[in-house]
Amino acid sequence: MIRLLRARGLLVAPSWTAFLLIFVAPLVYFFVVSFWRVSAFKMRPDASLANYIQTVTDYNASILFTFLVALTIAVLVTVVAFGFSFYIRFKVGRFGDTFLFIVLITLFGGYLTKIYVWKTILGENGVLNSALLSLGLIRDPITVFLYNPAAVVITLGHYTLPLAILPIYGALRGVEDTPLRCAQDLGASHWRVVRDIILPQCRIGILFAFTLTYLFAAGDYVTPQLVGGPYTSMIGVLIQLQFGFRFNAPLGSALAFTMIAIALLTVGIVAFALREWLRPRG
Amino acid sequence: MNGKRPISPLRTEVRVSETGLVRSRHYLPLTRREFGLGAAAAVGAAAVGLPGTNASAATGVNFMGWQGYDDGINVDNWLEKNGIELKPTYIGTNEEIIAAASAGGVGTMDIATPAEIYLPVYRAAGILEPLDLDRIPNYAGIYPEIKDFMPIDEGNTVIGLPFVWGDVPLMYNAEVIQEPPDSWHALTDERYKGRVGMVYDVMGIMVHSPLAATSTKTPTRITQEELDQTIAWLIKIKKEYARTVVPSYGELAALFANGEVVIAPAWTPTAAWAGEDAPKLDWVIPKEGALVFVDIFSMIRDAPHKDLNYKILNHTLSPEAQANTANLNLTAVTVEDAVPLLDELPRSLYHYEDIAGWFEKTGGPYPPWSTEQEGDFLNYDQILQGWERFLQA
Repeated sequence: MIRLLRARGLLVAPSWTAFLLIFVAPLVYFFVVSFWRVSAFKMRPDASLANYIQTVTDYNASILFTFLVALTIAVLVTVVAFGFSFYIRFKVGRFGDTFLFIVLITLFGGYLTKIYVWKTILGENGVLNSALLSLGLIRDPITVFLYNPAAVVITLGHYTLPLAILPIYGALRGVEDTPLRCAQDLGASHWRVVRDIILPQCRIGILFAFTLTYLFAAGDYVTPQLVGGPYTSMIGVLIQLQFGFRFNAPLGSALAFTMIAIALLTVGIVAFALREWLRPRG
Repeated sequence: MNGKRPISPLRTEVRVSETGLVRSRHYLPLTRREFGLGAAAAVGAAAVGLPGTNASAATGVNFMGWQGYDDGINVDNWLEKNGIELKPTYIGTNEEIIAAASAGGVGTMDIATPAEIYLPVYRAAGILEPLDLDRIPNYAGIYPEIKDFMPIDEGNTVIGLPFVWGDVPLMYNAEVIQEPPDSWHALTDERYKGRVGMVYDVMGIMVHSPLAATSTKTPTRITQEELDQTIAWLIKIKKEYARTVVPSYGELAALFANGEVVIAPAWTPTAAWAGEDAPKLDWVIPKEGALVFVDIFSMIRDAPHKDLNYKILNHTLSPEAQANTANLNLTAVTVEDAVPLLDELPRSLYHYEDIAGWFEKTGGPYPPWSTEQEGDFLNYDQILQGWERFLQA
């Protein structure tokens, strides 16, 4: 028995080592650093809450804005991802995997490519304006399509959609057809079947989709700068500024851990709400 | 000296030398003084002194700096011929060098390319190695006007070599704006509302903006009141006049090219990157002055390959390396003998015939930002705090 446990311990040792070194250690390090201070461009150990106080007082607007943008993206993308996953699971039969493959292949283009694709579509001389002009629907190009928070929502939403589809589709694949047919044979409406059988069974998939999308959107600092325009001040840009420009890793860490706390709280609330809402009814 | 230079000769050059233009446009948006994608990874890698693999017999030299400078000095495969394998870590901001060197890079990093205006910050961090000019004979070829801006440390020892220089004038679409503007306040001209471009370039913006928004003649020495005026002016442009704020001059070139902006502070090569199909772009040095920057080659303190580093540093000031760098990056050379080797396009961008006059007209290069508050004058971190207010607005 002991030999077996030792063997198992050796087998999982690399995984644990990687986990501790790659995930736990940096988190612990930056959490400790978030209580330090900077003097003469160098970090000095301290045990101060000053960085967190500054986070709340000086960065609240950007944090709130980031939260709202990320929440909007996460909700919209999760809803669309569920609709698409539902369709390819239940409506297109054996072509489901083909549809999924087409969705996933859009990830191959990369993140920046998608940003520039949307700039090409939404720009003043972009595809959308060109189409509207050629159809005679507008006389002059519309400038409001790009360089605003909506463009950030669209661009990040497009990028994260495949990431949200995967867990939901995976969960839907686990839903067996027999209970669905039984419920329908017993007179349950389509909505009742979805609400009481399908949704509760893919609750975790929905939560994963929401979480992945929310975290990606809340942490991104490239898209806001490329398509967000002058009114989109997301916190990722300011965190990057602390590390990249101001040598202020303590404040950057405090900002990052504040966002992590908000993310955990948000995901926790959504998890609780989903569990309550999707509790099977008697 | 006329501050306005026509872009038309550049277009001819672009057509004739298409290959050169394509190279520049493709990599420069990721190379110059704006926020760099993957910067954190670069800092992390350099911080732990990742040595990379050493597959060849050449000696690996760790380089941290702007992408393009490494290609520039490798004229005619100079590095390989001299048994050097340059291991580059590209930066998106000057601060990344300091962050990397301070976080364990000293002792593993060899060469870096800071900007002259940040030198006090580098000095405070104590990461640059004093140089023995006897081992750098090409130093003699530097323009005398540029030698005036030689980076030195507290002991009056040289700690870097001026490698390239450039400027950030006021650029405009000459097809829309027929009369050349003469002031930075053209950015708040009602006629261009919603057509103004801005770049997230701390160095560029935080030099010309105090000149425009306050009465200072030395934008790197400003008081809190002057900083407040500057940030208020910038926020006004951002909120009321700007089409957008972009992370790079390459992005700005695209905005000029498709007509989305008609006026913006812009690094000079932006006009060339906009391409031959773009509207005609001209630029002026406004009456208030403008940024002139000098990027330097420095050795990091306790560098592991000092002899090779000296060899490289000397080579960076050879006419061939200088010209090749300028031809690839559209930067200006610091060595007079390099000018005859320049392509027409990079030669036409800068005033080599009267560098002193050009510096006088721009007012720059200005004294570097200070790391400590000097009387009422703010230090660099306080300037950055103002910059953050602009970003958050």
